[in-house]
Amino acid sequence: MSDGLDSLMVIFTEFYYWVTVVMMFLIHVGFCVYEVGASRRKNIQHTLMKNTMLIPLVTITFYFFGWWIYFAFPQFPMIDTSLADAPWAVPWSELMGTHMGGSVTVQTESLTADDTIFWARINGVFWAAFLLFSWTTASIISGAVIERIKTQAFLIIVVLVGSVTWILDAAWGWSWNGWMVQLWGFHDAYASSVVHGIAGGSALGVLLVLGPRLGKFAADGTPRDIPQNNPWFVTVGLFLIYTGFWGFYAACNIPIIDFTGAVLGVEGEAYFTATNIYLTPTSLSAITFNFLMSLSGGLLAGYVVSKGDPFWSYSGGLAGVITASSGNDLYHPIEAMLIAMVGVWIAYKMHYWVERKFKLDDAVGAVAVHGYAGFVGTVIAGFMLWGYPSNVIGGDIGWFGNNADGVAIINPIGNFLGAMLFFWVLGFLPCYVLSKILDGMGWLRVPREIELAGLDTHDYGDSFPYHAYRDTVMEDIDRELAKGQG
Amino acid sequence: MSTNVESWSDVASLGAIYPFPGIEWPLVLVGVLVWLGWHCWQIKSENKEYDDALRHYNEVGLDKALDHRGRHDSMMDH
Repeated sequence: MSDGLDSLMVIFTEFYYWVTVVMMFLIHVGFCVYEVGASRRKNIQHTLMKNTMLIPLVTITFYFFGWWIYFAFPQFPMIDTSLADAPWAVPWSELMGTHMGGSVTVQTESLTADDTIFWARINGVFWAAFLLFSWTTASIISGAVIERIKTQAFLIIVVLVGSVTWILDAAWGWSWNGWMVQLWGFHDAYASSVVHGIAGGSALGVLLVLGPRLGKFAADGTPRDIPQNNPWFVTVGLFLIYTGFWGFYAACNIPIIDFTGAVLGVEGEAYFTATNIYLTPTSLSAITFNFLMSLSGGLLAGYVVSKGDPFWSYSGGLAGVITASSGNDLYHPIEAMLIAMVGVWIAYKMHYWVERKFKLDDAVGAVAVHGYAGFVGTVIAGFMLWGYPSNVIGGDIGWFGNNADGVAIINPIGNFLGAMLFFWVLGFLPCYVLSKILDGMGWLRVPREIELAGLDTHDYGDSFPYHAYRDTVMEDIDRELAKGQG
Repeated sequence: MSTNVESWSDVASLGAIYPFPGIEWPLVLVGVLVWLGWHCWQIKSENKEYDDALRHYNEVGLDKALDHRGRHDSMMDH
């Protein structure tokens, strides 16, 4: 890179994404802390290691094929029946390693000299930003299934979700040229459905096959509240997730681009701005307003609907941000706050209704906080942003309306279809089928005796060896279950 | 010679600067085998762990395991 301004923009962008990656690491720290707090003492270390080992497995598989999926599938199969060429994203590319941007000796097709310079600097940090979304999407499932899933099953499921299904949904609906964006006018700027909806649907698919924890439901079907070992840890974990969410929001933006000259192609003009992933303008300032206002709306609603329960108040903050995320690039901050409140109320009510009606044991409310809130937020954005151009590509190919420039407009039908596709088709269905297969092989759920004794008991040992053990009502229930009663 | 970098004097013309450029395909193959092999090892290891624990619980009685939940060492002494 020899041009001063271009070099500065590329290296600033490289540094920007690097910072977001470090911040997003806190999301995973938060998930681990929160799950450790939510699980019972007999299961703590198993819970921790299950979620920790997601990191290397999703990372290496995202390197092997996840990154390529994002660039190969955006228009497949609805606009183009062949996959796009993405020579910088295949794992054998020189650009998937330390590279100075000069000649590419192994492969040169489809790569201009400028492309090579760009990807040599951006590939690793852009890959990592998407990878951290992969961890998050996969990790959302982790909390729902604690205390009875085998680690082996979980680690296979997270590869499917983290390195295949979520990144396929991102290619289709969270990409500047994705077919859902161009045909449906789909808009989900900060991933209400793209990350959270699909993760919630995936968790639901696994939970239906996995079944509830022993003792979660009484013989008459009444749900029991299984006490968390450390509510304080749970809330600190959620605080850490909030913190990492800042990085997540920033990573969803492109920090600086010549919107008029480079994006719209107007010769002789330049207008530099941040954009969202669809290359439509927004700013860090705008999303900072909306992140905090939707967090606040979620906390306020969570506190009210749960009558001050710490877990649901904190979860409300998270669900609030998730609900408003679809349109947080454009909303007014007070709109973001109100939309967050609606999402939290629905997610909370849905969680307990589904638990009672379908005997679903979602240990941390992940399906509700991520799945229902994400789904609702995407649908709301379709109404709130109805008429905005969804992207920067013209052609009058939008199914549900185009603007005067021929660009598909954001609309309620497109966003509803997108929410359905991500939650049910790419989320629920693949995980339900995979869980069925794993269950059939005996790989899904730990044996009953192991679950009753605790997943740490035979292997890791006590997490708090210097602290006395105090039985709760759940220990009595376990004893009854061991005797075949209860 | 493990790399094609002999000098930093013409950095603008440099491409890949990791050692042994040109062996990307074999590296990917090895990486994929490590990934799949790890799953195989983990599945086998975890299932054996549960089998051993079940055998032990059958010997000492599940009640004892329940009384010693989370306390591996003392349970194993019984």
